[in-house]
Amino acid sequence: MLRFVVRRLAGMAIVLFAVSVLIFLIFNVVPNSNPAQQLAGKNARPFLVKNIEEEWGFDKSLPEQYVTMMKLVVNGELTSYEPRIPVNDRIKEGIPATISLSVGAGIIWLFFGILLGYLSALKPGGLLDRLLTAVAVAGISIPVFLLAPVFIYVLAEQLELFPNGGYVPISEDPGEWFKHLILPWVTLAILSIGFYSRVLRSNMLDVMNEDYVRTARAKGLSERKVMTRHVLRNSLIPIITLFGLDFGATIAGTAIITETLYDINGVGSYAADAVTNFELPPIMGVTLYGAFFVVFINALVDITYAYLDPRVRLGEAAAE
Amino acid sequence: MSPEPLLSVSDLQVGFATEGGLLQAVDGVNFELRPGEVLAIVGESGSGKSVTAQTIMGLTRGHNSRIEGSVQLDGEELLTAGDAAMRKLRGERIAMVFQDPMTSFNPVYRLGAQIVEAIRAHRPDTSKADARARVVELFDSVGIPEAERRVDDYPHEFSGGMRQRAMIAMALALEPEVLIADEPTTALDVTIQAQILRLLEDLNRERNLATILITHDLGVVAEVADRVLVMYAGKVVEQGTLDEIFYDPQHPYTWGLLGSLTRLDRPRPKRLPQISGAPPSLLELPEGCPFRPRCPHEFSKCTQVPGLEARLPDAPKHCDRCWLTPEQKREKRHVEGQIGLEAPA
Amino acid sequence: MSADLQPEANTAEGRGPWGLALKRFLRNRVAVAFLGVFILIILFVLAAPLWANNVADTGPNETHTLEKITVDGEQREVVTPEGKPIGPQWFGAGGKFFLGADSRLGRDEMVRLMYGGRTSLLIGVTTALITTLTAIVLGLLAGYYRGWVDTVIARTLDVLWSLPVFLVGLALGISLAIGGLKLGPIEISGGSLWIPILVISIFTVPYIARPIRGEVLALSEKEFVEAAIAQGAGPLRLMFGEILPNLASTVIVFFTLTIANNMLFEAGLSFLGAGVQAPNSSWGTMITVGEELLRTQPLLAIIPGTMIMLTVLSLNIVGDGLRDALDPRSKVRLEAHLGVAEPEGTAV
Repeated sequence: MLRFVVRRLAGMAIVLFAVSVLIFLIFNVVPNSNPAQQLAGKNARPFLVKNIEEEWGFDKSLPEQYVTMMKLVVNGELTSYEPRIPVNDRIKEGIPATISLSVGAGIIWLFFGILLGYLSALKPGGLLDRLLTAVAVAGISIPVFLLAPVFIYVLAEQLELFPNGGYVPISEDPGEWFKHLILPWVTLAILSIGFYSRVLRSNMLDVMNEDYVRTARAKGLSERKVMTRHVLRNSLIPIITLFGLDFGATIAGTAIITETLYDINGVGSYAADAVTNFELPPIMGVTLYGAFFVVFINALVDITYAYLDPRVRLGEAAAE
Repeated sequence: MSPEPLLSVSDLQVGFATEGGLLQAVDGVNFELRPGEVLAIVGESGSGKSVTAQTIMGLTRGHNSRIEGSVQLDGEELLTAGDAAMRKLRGERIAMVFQDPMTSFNPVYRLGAQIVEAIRAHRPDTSKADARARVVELFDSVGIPEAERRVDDYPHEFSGGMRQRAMIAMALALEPEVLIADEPTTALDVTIQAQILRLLEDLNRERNLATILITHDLGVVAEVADRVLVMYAGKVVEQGTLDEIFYDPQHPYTWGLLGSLTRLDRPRPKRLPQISGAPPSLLELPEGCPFRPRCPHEFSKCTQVPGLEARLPDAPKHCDRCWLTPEQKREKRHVEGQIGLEAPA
Repeated sequence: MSADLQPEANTAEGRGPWGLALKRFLRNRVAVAFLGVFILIILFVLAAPLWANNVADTGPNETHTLEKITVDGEQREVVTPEGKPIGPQWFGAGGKFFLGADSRLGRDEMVRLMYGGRTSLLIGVTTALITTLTAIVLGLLAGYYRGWVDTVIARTLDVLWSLPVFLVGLALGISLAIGGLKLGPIEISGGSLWIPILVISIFTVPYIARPIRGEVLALSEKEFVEAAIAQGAGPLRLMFGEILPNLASTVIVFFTLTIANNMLFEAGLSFLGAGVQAPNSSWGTMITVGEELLRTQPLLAIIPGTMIMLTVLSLNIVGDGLRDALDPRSKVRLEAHLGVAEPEGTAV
C-alpha cells in the first residue's frame, strides 16, 4: 500500500509539471502575436508592454521564459496590471468563500445523489424509479445560469425567502453565512445529484447481476444485507472516485458561474472578473491554482480507490 | 438409508416471461433425493439443469417467472414458502456451490470474512472470533493449506482450485442436509477437477451429505454419481441409476453423450464423435420430441411428445422419453462397436 | 459471467440489429416525443431569416433604442428614457418585439433568440463531430497498437483530463479571442466562431476518447479480430472494418450526449465572455445581456436559458433512448441470472 502511495505521489509531481508546461504554452506560445501585449490587457499603454516584455523575458528562449514564469508564480510575484494587485493574495482571499460553497454543495449532492440512486435501483422500472429518473434527467439538463436566475428572481426577489446573493464569512455570522449559501448550494448540487443518482443506479443494476450477489443470496443473507453490504458497497467505488474528481474541480473554481450569479467573492468570480476585463495574469494564476488542486485531489482519489478495491493495490491482480 | 426421501421434486415447471414470449426453461422434472445419495443432472447449456437447482433454492422467484409443481424438503413445501423461510433455509439446510469461484466471491472483502458473514447471518449469537475459528477449521477440512493465514486473504489471492475449495467450505459451514454443486469443476483445469471431485466424494461419504451434482461432463458423473438425470431443452429425457444409464442407456441423446466420451481403453475412433446440430431455442421448440431434429433414428411417431415412462419391465425406476421399442434401442445404440449415436444419413 | 437472455436473435426473422434497435427506440414514447421537441427546435432556429424578414422586420443586431412602435393603436417607446426595454408584445405589434427588446440597445429578443440558437446549435453539433471523430481515431490507435503509441496517447489524455477543463477553456478562449490564433500557415482571427469550436472540441476529447479506448482494448481481444488477422487483414482493415462497426452504438450514444454537453460548455464560456464574441451571439451571450436586467426583466435571461435547457434535455433523453434501444441488455434484467439458453446453443 505504501509503495502505491509513493508511486502515485511521484506521478502527481510529473503531471503537475506537465500541466504547468501546458499552461505556459497556452498563455505564452499558442496565441502568438504579442504575448506581452496580451498580458498587459486590452487598453495597455506602450511602456507597460515594454516593461512586461523585460519582466517576463519574451526575448529569451522558451525554456528560459518558462523558468521565469514559474519563478514569478512561486514567489507570489504574479500581478495583474490593472489594478496592481498580487494575484496570489487575491486568490487567498477568495479561497474561504469557494471552499464554503464547494464543501456544502458537495455534501448535499453526494448524500442525495446516493440516496436517490439507491432508491431507484431497488425496484428498477417501478414507479419510484421512473419518477426519480425523470427528476435526475431534468437535473442534469438545467444549466446553472437558468436555475440561478430563476431561484434568485422567484425565491429571493419576489418571495423574499432568501437573501439576494452575497457572501458572509462564517467567522462573522454563522447564521447569515448559512442563509446566504443555501441557494447557491442547491443550485450547484442539483446538476450533480441528477448525474450521481443515475451513475449509482446504473452501477447497482450491473452489480446486481454479478455472480457474487447470487452467492450472497444463496448463503441466506437478508435482502437488505445483500443490497447494502454487497451491491451498494461495490457500486459506490466508482462514485467515490467520481466525487473526488468533481469535488476537486469545484474547489478549483469551476463554480465560476454560480459564484458570479450569486455575487460570491470566491476564486471563481475573481477569474470571471479577470475574463471580463481581459486580464491574463489572474487567469493564469487561477488556472495554475485550479490545476494543482485537481491533480492533487486526483492523486488522493486514486489512493482511496486502491484502499477500497484491493485488486488495484497489487498492481495487475488476477492471480491465476 | 432411510426410506423417506429428503428432497422430493414433482412435476416442476419453470417458465420466464420474456420479450420474445414465454420461455419454458424447465418442463416437468421429477426426482427424489435420499440422505447420502449423489444425484447427477446432466445436460448442455440451456437444458434447464441450473434453473432446476436454483428454483429448489428459491433463487428464481420474481415477477417474470412462472413456477409450478412441488419441491419438498423433509415434507415441507418450498415453492410456496415465504421469502423469510427460504432465506433461513439457504445455506443452513440446502447449500449451493457455483461454477465460477472467481466471480462468485465479492472481490473487495476478505474471503474468510465472507464465510463469517454467512455463519453469523444464520447464527447471530456466534462471536466473530468463534466464527473465524470455524472458518479455519473448514479450510482445513477442505484441504486448504496454511488455513490460519489464508482466511484473511482476498479472493484474487487464491488460485482457482483453492477458491473452489473455499466455496465448498462456505457451503458446508452450517452443515446443510443437501449440497447442490452447479458445474463445480467446469471453470478449473483438468488436474484440479479431479481433486475437487475427490473432495466432493469424500464429503459425501464422510458426512452422508446428499448431493446434487450438475454438469455437462459425463466423465465427472461416472466418478461420483449414484443416480443420473439427463436433461434436454428443459425436459428430462432419461433418468435412472448410474449403471442403468451407462450400461443400458435408452435415449438417443444419452447415446450421443456417451459416444462423445473419448476413452483410453478403446481404439481411437476414426472421427471425433459428436452430436450434429445444436440444441433448439427454448422459444421455438420443434414439434414433438425436442431431440427430433438431431436424431438419426427419428420416425413418424416422433412428432408427438413422448412421455417420461419406464419402458423396461425389470427396471421400474429407469425412465426415458423415446418412442423406439427397447429392442430397437438395443440395436441402434451400437456404432462401430460401442455405444454412440450415428451420424445422420 | 452470467448469460443474459437475447430472445431477439431468434425471433428476428431476418431483421438486422439496426432494424431491431429502431423498433425498440420507436416503442420508447418519451424518447420519440423529445426527439420531436429537438426537431422542432431545429426548425425554430432554421426559420430565423423568415421571421426576421417577414414578421419582425429587423435583424438580430439592429438597435432600435430611440424608436417607437405601434401597439394596439398606441405608440410605445422601445426603450424608455430610464433605459428600460419594452416587454413581450406577442402579436400586439404584428409580431415585432414578440418577446420584447433585449436591453438598452433595443434589439428584438425573438429574432436574437432564433439567430443565437443557430450559433449555439452549430457549435454544439460541430464540436461534437470533431470531438467524436478525434476520439475515435485516438481510441482506435491507442487501443489497437498499444505499446508506446498507447502510452503517449493515454498520458496526453490524462494530462488534459487533469486540468480544470472549464477554467483552462476559459483562459484559452479569452486569450485566443484577444489575439487570434497563428499556428504556422493557419490563421484565425479572434472573433471567429472557430475559436470556441476548437477550444471546446479539444477539451472534450478526453471524456470520449478514454471510454472508446477502453472498448477498443476489450474488443481487440475478441476472437473475431483474431480471425480477421488470420485471414490476413492489415491494421487499417482491422481498425475500421472490424472494430469500428462494433463501436457504432457507443459512438452514436456518445455523440448525442456530447452535443448536449458541448452546448452547455459553450453557453458557459459565452456567458463569461470567453466563447462567442460580438457581433456573433449565442444563447449564452444572450444570458449575459439578460443577467444585468435580472431583477426587473427576468425573462430576458430566463428565455434563452430555457431554450438551452429544452435542447439539452431533449438530447439527453434521446441519447438515453438510443442507449436502451441499441443495448437491450442494459434494460432487460431477469431476476436471478440463470443459465438460460443462449439461443444459438452450444454443442456438447
